Amino acid sequence: MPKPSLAWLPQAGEFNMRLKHLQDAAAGIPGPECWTALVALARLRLDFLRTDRLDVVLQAAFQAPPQPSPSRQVRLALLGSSTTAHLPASIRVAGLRRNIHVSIHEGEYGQYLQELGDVNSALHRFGPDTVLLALDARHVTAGLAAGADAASARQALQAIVATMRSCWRLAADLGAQVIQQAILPVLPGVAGNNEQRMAGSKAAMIVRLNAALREAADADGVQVLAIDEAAARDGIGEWHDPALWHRTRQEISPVATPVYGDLVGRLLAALQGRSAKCLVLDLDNTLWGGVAGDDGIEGIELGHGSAAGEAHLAVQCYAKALAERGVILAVCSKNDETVARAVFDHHPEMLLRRSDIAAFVANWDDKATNLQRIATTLNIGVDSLVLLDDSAFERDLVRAALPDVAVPEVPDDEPALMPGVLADAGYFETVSVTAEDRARVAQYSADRARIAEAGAAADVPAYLASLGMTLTWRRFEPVGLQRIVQLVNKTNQFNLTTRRTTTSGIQALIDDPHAFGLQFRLADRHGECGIIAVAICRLQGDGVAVVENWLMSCRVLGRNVEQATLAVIVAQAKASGAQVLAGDYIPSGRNAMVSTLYGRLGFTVGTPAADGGHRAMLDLRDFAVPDAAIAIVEGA
Amino acid sequence: MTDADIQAGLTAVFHEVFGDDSLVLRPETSAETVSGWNSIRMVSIILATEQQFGIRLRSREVDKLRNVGDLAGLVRIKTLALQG
Repeated sequence: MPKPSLAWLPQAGEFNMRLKHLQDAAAGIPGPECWTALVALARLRLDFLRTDRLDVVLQAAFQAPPQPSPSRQVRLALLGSSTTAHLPASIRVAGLRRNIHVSIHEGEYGQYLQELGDVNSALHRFGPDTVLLALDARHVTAGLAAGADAASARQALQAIVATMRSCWRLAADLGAQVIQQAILPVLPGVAGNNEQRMAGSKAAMIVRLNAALREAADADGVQVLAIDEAAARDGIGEWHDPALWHRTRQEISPVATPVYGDLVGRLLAALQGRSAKCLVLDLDNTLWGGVAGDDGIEGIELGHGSAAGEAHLAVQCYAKALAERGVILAVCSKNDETVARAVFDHHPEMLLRRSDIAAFVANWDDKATNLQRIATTLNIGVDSLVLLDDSAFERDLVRAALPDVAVPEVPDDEPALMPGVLADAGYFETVSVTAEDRARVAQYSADRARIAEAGAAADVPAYLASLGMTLTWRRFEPVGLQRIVQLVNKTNQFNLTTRRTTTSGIQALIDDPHAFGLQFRLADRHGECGIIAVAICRLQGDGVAVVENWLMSCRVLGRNVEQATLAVIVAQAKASGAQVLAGDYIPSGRNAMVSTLYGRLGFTVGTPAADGGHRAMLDLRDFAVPDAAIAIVEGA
Repeated sequence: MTDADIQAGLTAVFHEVFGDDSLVLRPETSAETVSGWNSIRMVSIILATEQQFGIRLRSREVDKLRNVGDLAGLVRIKTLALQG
């Protein structure tokens, strides 16, 4: 992915169409719905051209904040020493992304000192509550002669820091919070590796100045906008194009402005106390590799020994560092609670402990509902939550149901990139780190190990309908036999009988006229999930078809796939001449999640056996095909 | 790449940059005839054109451009050089 990019935001599909639609809708008197729709567009991965286009519509619709205003509005003065005309759009859109309305006054090119000092200036009339001082590298090093000795180099440095501080004081007198942009290191060195030894080097001066201005900013209560560090990550050539500097005096390349604006936006949000507060972690394939319920504690990948295990451990390590800084940690996982907790309690490589987790939710409900529960339990808004999850399905579901929850994209779902993505996205921007921040973890953890079952359900049916799911079934056949055997022998959680099999067992079944095996694949708009379920039925002489095996991959839980699967089993049993379908639940210690499945699907459940299992019966004449949002197709 | 491809690509660029899908490009279209075509927009046009066609435009080349016809000609030479 080319940088600088808002890589953590989802791709901006159909942006132009949605914007056009909004443009037409905003022609009247734009209300809160229009604002909300604009916020949704701002939360897509916009490049600089689209940022500008969105800003045009935003400006036309909301010169003033929407009423009632979703947050405190910001009046920001942008004072620069070179061209800044291309920056305000990205700052306004970054504010919009955070539900903050930003009005911007742009200072006259290079006139920042005069404007700050003159009580009759346009700046004073504007009345900013925030002043962003954007000074460029050539401007701040202008006082340094190439042949300067150490003493005069120090003098030049002190002079520019003094100028900055007097600007800060003037801005503070206006009642404004000051943001000082760090200096972009765009000037080429003249000495090489040991540039610092050359007193008159402008490149070396910028490095020293960036350190000095940070020290001064800490002392004066000024916020630093660390574009020097952002450019170091992306490459200075991506942030600054010397040819554009010579053409228009744009120090920051337009290509970098979306990220530039976002860096400002997160400071504005942090100053209002609106940064995210809680990192919600998925478990399987996020905190560790593999599926704990299927692979077992011994089978998951975590810690030293494999690259993937190390990568997942690094995710935990980063989460722990955030927790030590005051970010609340929570767990939200589709899992058996006992299985999930057992990994925390018994896996030797687990870095995160249960005591690090303020809210621990592992069940089979949809994640949007669970995230609302977590927010309620912690007594914070859902807009304070960030969900880290490897599954594109879960990410999209949460974005659709709870648009205020931040859900970062992870490139190629690569766990090694997860810490970097969280850092780049800047969800947890903080302007001060207090002892109270550090104590917060303990405070939230107390007495909150379990989450109450209550909680409003999000609009999941609508989301499922939008997925365009297709369940494709076919009888067992020699091709694909290995995958069937593997799924039958590996699946633990959604598995009614946990009867294992072999290649020859499945081969015998294919040839048996009194039995049938069904394999199911699922596809949706995200792509193909592969074979996700298997069912095996045996026909008795008395018109009863017995479900000997029924199992499903946990990846597709919560999508009503079991109802659609049953519809196929019923149709095939009928076609084979059966009138009744019988199914057994045999407890295995790991399949508690399907203990009530037959009852929920409309079977008559018999008396429980000694081991807690039961047989359930379904009269096929009574079965009505459920109205699930899944198309059922026989595979060719 | 045909002249029609270049025309279509540049039209897409101008629509994105000016946020106006009704803009029609002619060879004589220039900063004088399109409102809002200032030096900052010119930079956007250069960057978006580079992205659209996968080429790099030099300062000297950009300085010589008088209108859309000149830009299309420059793109033609650059894309030919890519294939060559």
